[in-house]
Amino acid sequence: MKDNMTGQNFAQKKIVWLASYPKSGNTWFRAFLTALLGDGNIDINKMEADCVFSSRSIFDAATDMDSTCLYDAEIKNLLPDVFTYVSSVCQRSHLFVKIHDAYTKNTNDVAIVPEQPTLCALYFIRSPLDVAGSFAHHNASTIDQRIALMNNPHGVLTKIKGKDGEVNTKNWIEQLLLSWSGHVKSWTDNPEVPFPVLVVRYEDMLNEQFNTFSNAAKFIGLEKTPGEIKNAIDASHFEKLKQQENEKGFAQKNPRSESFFRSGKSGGWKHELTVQQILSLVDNHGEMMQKYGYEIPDIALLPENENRTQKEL
Amino acid sequence: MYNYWGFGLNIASEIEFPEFLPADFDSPDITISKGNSPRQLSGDDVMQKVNVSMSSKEYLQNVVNVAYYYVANGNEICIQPHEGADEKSIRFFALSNAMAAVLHQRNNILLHASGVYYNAGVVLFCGHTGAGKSTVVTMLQQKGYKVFSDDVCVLKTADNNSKTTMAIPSYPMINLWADSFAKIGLEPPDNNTRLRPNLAKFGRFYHDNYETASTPIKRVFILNAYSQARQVEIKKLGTIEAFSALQQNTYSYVQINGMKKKAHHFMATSKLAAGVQVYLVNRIPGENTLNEVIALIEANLRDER
Repeated sequence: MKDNMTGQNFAQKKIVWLASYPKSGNTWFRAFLTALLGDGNIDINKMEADCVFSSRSIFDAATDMDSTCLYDAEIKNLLPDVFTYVSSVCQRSHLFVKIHDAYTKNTNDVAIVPEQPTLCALYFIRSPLDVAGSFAHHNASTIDQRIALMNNPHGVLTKIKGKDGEVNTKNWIEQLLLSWSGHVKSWTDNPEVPFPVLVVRYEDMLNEQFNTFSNAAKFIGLEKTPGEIKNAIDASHFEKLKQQENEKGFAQKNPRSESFFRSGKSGGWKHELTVQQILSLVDNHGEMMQKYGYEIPDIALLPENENRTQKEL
Repeated sequence: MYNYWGFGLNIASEIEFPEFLPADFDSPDITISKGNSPRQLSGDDVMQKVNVSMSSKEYLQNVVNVAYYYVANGNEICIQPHEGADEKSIRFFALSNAMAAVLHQRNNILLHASGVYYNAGVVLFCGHTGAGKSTVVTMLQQKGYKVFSDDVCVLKTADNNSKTTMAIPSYPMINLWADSFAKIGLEPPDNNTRLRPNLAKFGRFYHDNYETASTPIKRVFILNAYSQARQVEIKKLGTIEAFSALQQNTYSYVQINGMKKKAHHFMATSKLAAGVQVYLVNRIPGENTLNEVIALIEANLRDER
């Protein structure tokens, strides 16, 4: 189907949403995609899905508006049309869009993620116990601050509503995350999501690499040989990405944090969370953790560490 | 009908714009009217985006819950407000999108820049919204500099072979975010001066100390708020880098593209890059480095006078 006025193709479904709560493997997967779809090399500052849902420059270019002068509700009401338009002018068969927003509706009661141009979504999930420390490192904030955000049912990234009104000057548009559980539920356990969603566990990306990456590539319709998948996995190895950041920097790093790529492991929470922090996350997110195969830790069996004294245990 | 001067143009308007400078003239360059706007543009050369479409002669923007803005032939802006729209928002998008469109239709190029008078010319501060243009200019105003323009100015390339590019100011108002008032040491803003009802951005008039004459551009500073810099720094850009930076800081590349003004854009920015010194000022994101930025800029101006 072509629009009569512009000749743009609105019919083809080509957006693959790379959706996740922050620090859950999204960037790693984009590195894999970059290697898989390109010549096997990765420049972390020029990756596939550099199209980001909350990008102010994409919004402004599609609307000829200065989005800093729009209200957040006005922006959210335009976003479905913005990405329908962006998809219509994309010349490639797939348009990968990174998104940290929860799957929610705007004040027009329309989903902010448009159905029409959407092919499918990959949803990256990681144990909230590990997300907390990684997220704190990423924003140079404390683990308690990040846990408070993860537990907040109205949590947002890039908050713009201040006491004097909306201050909308950051590089990114405000992103409504909900709580960690709310985010997971909105994308993976929501009958209103009208397109296929594949859940990809960060821990499986680490431990079941070939099958996990291979299944994801197949789900989004990329016909690749096992050798091509393996090469792309090797090229996007965590240590290689970290090394590139050390050498050249990474534009998506929060200026306040030391680095974007930290340890790239799972289970780090055992060494950095206090008992109170663990209990807080489990109390708030136990149901979703169990649904996606994350064991609820037995506090009594945890080893003592510098954050967790024997007295606490 | 209200008669004004703004962006170098004599403007006759059915809508009152306190932001513009009142003026006397016999015939206007452009008219602003309230009326019925078309709902779509037609023609082979129309570029259609989200709620906005444009060609070389026409521009149509629908700002939802605010107004339709129809701009044509470089001399006509027609505004059709949506029901219940507030007047401030209606004026706000007329002063930004619609005025930019009418100026582009007249083959003008706009620089996203604020400026102060200096050394028989003007010094401009470019940058995207939030880079600190208005804050720097207000701070310099507090230190005794006279403000030339805020947020945007019109580039005027002389017809002769002179290397000089002139700038024309927009209108006598500085747009400041709420947090800038405290940073600069100003009293908190009056609620009546909000640019839009729910936006923490306020207008500061300076009609009493305003000049409309086009003025030679002496130097350009590009303010970069998103650098990975660990300290405030200033560095001179080569001509190619300066050209690239100026291109990125022209106002509304979407309009330049959609209205087929790329040749004018190239001419204006290449001439400016070749004719003036352009400096990049890297700020530290998230930190109040205003005093350091001002000190570096003033030292730069003193050193290379």
